[in-house]
Amino acid sequence: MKETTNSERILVVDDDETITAVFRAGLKQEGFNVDVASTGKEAIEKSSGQVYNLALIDIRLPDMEGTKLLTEMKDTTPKMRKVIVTGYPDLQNAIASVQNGADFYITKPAKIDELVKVVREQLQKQREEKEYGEKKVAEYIETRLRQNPQ
Amino acid sequence: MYDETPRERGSHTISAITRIKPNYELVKTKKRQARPPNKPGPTWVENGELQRNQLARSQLEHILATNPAAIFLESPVSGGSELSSIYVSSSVASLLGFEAKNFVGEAGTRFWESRVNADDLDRYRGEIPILWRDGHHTFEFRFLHKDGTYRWIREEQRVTRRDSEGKPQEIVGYESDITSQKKIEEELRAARKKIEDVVVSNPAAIYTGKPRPDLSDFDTTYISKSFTSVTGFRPEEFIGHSDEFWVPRVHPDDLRLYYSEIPKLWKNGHHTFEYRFRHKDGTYRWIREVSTVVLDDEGKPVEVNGYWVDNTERKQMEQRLRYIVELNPAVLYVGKPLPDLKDFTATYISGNIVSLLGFEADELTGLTGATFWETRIPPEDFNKYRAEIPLLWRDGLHAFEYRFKHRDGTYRWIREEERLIRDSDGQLQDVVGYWTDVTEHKRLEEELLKSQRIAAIAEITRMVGHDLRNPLQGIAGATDVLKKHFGESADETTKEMLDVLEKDVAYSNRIITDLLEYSKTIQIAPVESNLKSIIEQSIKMVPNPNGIFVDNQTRDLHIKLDPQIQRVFINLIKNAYDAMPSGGRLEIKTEASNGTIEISISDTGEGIPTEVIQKLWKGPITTKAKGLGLGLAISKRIVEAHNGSIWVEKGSERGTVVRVDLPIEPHTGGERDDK
Repeated sequence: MKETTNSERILVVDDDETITAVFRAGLKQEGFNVDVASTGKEAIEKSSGQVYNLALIDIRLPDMEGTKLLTEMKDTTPKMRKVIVTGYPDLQNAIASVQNGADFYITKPAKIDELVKVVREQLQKQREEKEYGEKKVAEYIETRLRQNPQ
Repeated sequence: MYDETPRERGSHTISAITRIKPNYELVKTKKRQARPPNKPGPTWVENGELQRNQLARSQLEHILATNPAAIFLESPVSGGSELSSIYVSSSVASLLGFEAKNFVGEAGTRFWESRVNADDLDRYRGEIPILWRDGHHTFEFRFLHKDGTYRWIREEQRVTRRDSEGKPQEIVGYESDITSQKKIEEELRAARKKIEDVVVSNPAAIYTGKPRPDLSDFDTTYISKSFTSVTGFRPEEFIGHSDEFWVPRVHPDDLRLYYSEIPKLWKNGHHTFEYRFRHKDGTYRWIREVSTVVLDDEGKPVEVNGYWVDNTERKQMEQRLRYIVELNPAVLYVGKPLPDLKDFTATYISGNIVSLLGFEADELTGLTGATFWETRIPPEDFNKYRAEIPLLWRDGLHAFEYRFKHRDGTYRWIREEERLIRDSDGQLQDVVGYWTDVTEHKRLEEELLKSQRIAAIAEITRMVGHDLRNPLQGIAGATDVLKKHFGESADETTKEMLDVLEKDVAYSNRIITDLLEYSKTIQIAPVESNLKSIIEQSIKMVPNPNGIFVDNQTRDLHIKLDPQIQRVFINLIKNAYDAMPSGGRLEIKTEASNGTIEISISDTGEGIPTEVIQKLWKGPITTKAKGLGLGLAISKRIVEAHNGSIWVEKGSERGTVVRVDLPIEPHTGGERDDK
């Protein structure tokens, strides 16, 4: 799998430079392309000019709540996998995150192995969805072709 | 009073005039006779008839002119219905203010009538026939004096001559001023009326009585009419029948009081007491009896005066008031400010004070701060009290709070609130207030403060815990990255140090988790559970060190529990293992009784010292090298959130028994606010 993920891009959104540095280093070791945003605003800007496969979003950002950022990016980056990283592990936060479009939820402090595992799982799901989508499109075209041979 | 015209008169009238002619001269001579006052009149010379007559006449003139009474001679007119003066002595001027001539003849009669009080004039006329009948009569009437004031005049008349048919022909009389006597008489009458009012129209039944020779009681000799309205009986029914009438009608419960009051009467000379008396209508009325003894010269009781009054309404009101006051949770009192305004002293305290302070009202009445309160109130509170007294004078209303040492030795928080009552001149009259026990309130207030403080601490803890997770994430992440970076190429020390970092990050995170959990309010949602399986699972989840035998005697018990309860058992099992480092026996037993399940977890370990047991549940406490020691505190909170309780049954060298009692049906929700 390692080999297949080399081209996949990850955005780490956190205002804590230690965390962005560590996550970047850990994910780079696994061959991912990593970009960093320290505010919600920066994350929105970056994700609109560049396609990321996945974003790791801190629940508390200097300019907005992580859950708010999820809502903001829901429409612009519908296919990007979004994982919330939080130091407040409680049920309400988890529910709010999922409701706002998070695909997964990781609590701090997370081991890099654990983080990488989650990232890989999410990217796998993304690929499966893409393939499923392409298959659906192909099936649709096929069906149409059969109905209208011209 | 005089009619000089001879109409209707006939000869006898003329002769009468002739006869009294000298009197006319007397009137005239009076004018000539002006002499200085105090100069003695003509002296009596007893020498010869004529001389004597002359002297007598001048003496008479003098007597008539200076007499305080006015002398007159009259004759009946208008067929005897009126009198007319033929002669009036000049002394009338000093009596009525008008000269004698004003009263003579018919004009005189009219003049006289015009000055007599109308009511009295009618009476006067009505009485004239009595004069004719008796030949003598005394009239009294008010006459309007020249000075404008009415004078009471007494007029005594005598018929001095009648004709052959007995008809009155001549009347002689005198008038005198009896105004001052009348005034005295009126005052006397008013005084008598007043006494009558007091006695007769008084709602109290007034009586006099004679003490019995043996002083066992007294027998009434007089009872006023009001007796009927008080008792329903007529006075006559009682007078002379003291024993058989009165005593059987006194309420049986009040008889002892009644008999005990009689000796007091003789001893003190008076008494006032109240008892129930059966009215004629069969109902009991409260009678207030007030008596005074009259003593003779030797000091022996000779008479008893007094009264009975129906006091039922007042008594009922008093009882209602007493009910309100005595059963009130607040102690009510009235006090007087001391002259220096530094304090005040209670003049009335309601009886319920004994339940508040342990002291009787009588013991405290009249005492001041310095004589009593200072001895029961801690100096700190007392000084504050003293310092606040001026606020009461200034604002007219103030509330004090202080601790008071109850008679039983315990301290109570007392709230004292009072209001100043001023008289119409603005002078301080009374202090009216109440005391209440606010100990419980104070305790709650303190607990609220404490819980507010704890809540604040919890909030800070939560924030700090969270903030610590970011650097922890940094350390944990960096460690992982380094580990991977060096891989197998790392030397032993590097590997060891990276492991230390990894382990301590995990440990730090556990502390943070504990802190966050401890600072969180525990919410429970109990679900139907089997206690036996919960405990079995808990035992499985704690690694069992070697040498410990676990004896789980838990029975199948169905009870509503929140899944968090498992943490309690895990904690307790862990603690038991830790207490037996060299092995031992862990025993878990359950018992169901009265809607409660009793769980006991006992070990054969080192035991817990008594001083530690007391602090055990408050957390953080630990005797272990690692760990915050919040486990038991959290356990206690989870158990209490279930409405249960947890405590150490035994702390000795032979081991520890922890008891957990859980209700079979706990309430749903969270910890109570006062936790």
